[in-house]
Amino acid sequence: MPEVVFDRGTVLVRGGAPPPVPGLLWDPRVAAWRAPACLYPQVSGALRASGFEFEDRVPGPAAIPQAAGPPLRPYQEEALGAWEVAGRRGVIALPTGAGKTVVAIAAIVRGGRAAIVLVPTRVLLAQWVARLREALPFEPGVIGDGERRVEPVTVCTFDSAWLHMDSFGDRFGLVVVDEAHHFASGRGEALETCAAAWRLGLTGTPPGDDERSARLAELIGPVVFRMWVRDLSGSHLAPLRRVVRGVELDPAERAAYESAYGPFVAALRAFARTTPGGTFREFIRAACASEAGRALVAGRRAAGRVVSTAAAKLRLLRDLLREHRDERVIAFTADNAAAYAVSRELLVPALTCHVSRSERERLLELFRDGAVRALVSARILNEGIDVPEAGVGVVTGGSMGKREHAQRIGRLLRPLPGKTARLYELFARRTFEDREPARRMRGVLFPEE
Amino acid sequence: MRFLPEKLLDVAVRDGQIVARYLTDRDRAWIEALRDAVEAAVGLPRAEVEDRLAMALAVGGGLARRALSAFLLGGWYGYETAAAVDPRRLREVVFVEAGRAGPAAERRDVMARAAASLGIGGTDAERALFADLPAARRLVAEPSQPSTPDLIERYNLALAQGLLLRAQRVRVAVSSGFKAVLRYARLARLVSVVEPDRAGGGVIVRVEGPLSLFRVTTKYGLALASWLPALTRAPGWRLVADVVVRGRRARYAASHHDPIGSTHAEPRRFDSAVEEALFRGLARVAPRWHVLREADPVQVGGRVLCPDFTVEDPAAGVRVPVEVVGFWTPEYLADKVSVAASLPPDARWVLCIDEDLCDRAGPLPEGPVLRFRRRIDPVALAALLEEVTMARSDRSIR
Repeated sequence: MPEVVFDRGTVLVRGGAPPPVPGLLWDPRVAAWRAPACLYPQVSGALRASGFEFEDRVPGPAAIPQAAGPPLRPYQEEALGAWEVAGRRGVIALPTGAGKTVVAIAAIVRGGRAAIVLVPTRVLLAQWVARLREALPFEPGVIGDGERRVEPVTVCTFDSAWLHMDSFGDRFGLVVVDEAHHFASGRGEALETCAAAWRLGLTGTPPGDDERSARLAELIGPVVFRMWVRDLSGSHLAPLRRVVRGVELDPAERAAYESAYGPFVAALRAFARTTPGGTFREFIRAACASEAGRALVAGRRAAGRVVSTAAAKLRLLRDLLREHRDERVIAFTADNAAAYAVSRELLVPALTCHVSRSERERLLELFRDGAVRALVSARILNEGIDVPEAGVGVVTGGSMGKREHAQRIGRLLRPLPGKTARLYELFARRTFEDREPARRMRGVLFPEE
Repeated sequence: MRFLPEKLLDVAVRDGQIVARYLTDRDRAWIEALRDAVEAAVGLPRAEVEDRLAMALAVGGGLARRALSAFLLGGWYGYETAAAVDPRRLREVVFVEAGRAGPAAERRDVMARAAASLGIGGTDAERALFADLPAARRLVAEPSQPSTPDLIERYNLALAQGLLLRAQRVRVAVSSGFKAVLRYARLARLVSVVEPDRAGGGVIVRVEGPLSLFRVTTKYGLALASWLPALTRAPGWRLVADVVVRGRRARYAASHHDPIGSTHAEPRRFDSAVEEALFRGLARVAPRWHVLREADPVQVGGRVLCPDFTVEDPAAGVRVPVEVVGFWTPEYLADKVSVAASLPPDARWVLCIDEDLCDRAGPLPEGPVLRFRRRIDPVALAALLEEVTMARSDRSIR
């Protein structure tokens, strides 16, 4: 009797010739028919429908013990319903703070099949494990950050999934992809080598362009539910007030800034004149080809450091900490060096990639308890760390895109009774930061028209 | 650092070909100067080590110097925290004290109270506060250091592995010992395909992954890079790989003529206890049979078969290839037997199957198959060999 088996991230049909089925290819290397594991549900279904008899030796997902799902808010229930109606394949787009994790846990519990959750960072790995531990009557598995324990519900980093999904991709019926927009470009192998029929993507910021949306739809499914910050602001998310404050560089900083940035911007203007339609990226690439050009780029970086660690920003941040002494404040800096400058000067814990998981958890605990009233971070708080107590954000720097900015704001929007979130954006006047605050906000709170 | 990262790969791409700049004995002078500079930096904080080395490297410039310095530091040096008190403990005390005192308190008062509660001085506390950050940790040397020629070989291997880390597929040839090459590929969960080498007359092994059938992928790069030392051990090895480097696809070729070392131990003379026991037993009960370890691959139609060893009766000039089949199913075995049966009569071979490694029971095909449990009986094998070779002479009489 022909059989279908899982083989390192693919499925093989061997011991008999199957009828032609989309996705199934003859593999002369092993003299059998092969399909990527992600097509297993379609291929086995099509083979059955054609009357082809075979023994299905793909183990398939174990059932998970029943558990009471978490209570859902009406829009979360709606999102989950939309995904179920779409055949349990698709992406749910909810703003940060709207409770995507809860929706996914409800999907896992209701589905009742073994599930794997893919997350981009080690921080999120720890956080998902903690949330699942609370919600499930059994211990979740962990793959990544030095651990490897496969359980019926397992959390796995993207990197580990890229390397190892081909050895356990046959054991899950549902794959949940947190921050799913990462899969819109490149490295889709983690999902291609997984046999799970049900797929749930979570994101606050689905890709805007067709090509990337199509890739995401192919790997996970189409966007089946979408809400904006404005749909939830004031009801399920805390209302937000935004204040932009400019500061002046000190004379010494101004001099350092001009001498480092001036030549760079002059060269950029010259490039724009001589290369109509040339992009910023092309300019940087051209500059990096020569010693002089590399010095210009290094100058741009030095200017960035001057601006991100400007003394006036630090003074203003200190004033804001005093003003909001009874609230929980998060400061977002341009980079780790600036975060540590704040930490050393204002004695506020810095959360960076250099902080171990146990220290990070301890610091977040102190912050939640109120023993520590402020945190400073460059990037690590951007994606998905739960600090609902935080109501005041101070952005001292960072020229990242809208997505990161939206995620930073999201940290502040977790609702608490009576809470109004405040966001201060600090920028250095008469520097390249002048246009940053306006640029960041477009398309964050509302659809971009 | 096992493999060089992309930004440290000292390669040029010309006409779609990757030219890897291996280090050789000619580089010895600057390498030893660099090693002296690293040794002199032991005990300094990382930021200072990097500044100093950046200056030392700026004199000669060049990617090779930066890459070797990173490889040396990553492999034989480390960084340690040096502080009067555990920085993490100090930070917690400081942050909680600062939280208690509120944002209006003076920084120096908070620091002084925190330092006092841990029984250290104010200066020590300032120094210790972030002494565990990467830039502040101090350079220490591993007790055993490689010789410079050894370092050069390992660096070149790490460079080749850094390229294979970005490889989509690899084709290799070796003059002997490729059974071990294939075995390591299997251990790395790769798929290898043996093809006749139309140009060279030998065989070429294509190494890739299961998913390679559907898409061009660098997913198997880590497996390929880890497997490379098994290849570079084999005599007369050659390799051609399609590699994506700096956003472009190019061809990387390497061979035993390149100065690439191998971290693997010499391959063992015997792969398994089963075979070793058999060799000893055969020598005792049927001394006319000699065992040749590196058996020649056999071409049948478009396929190439690789016996585990060949037994030879030098007096009679008879050779019989023997394959010890690992994990098997009845279908797999039937396929093997039918291929063996299509061989010319003077090239018949013998299959040995372990009954405990059967995927599931089923009818066994007719043919020269020897069943065993754990250990192959040399008497039974000798009898089968007689049978196979006698069938040949019968046929030649007819």
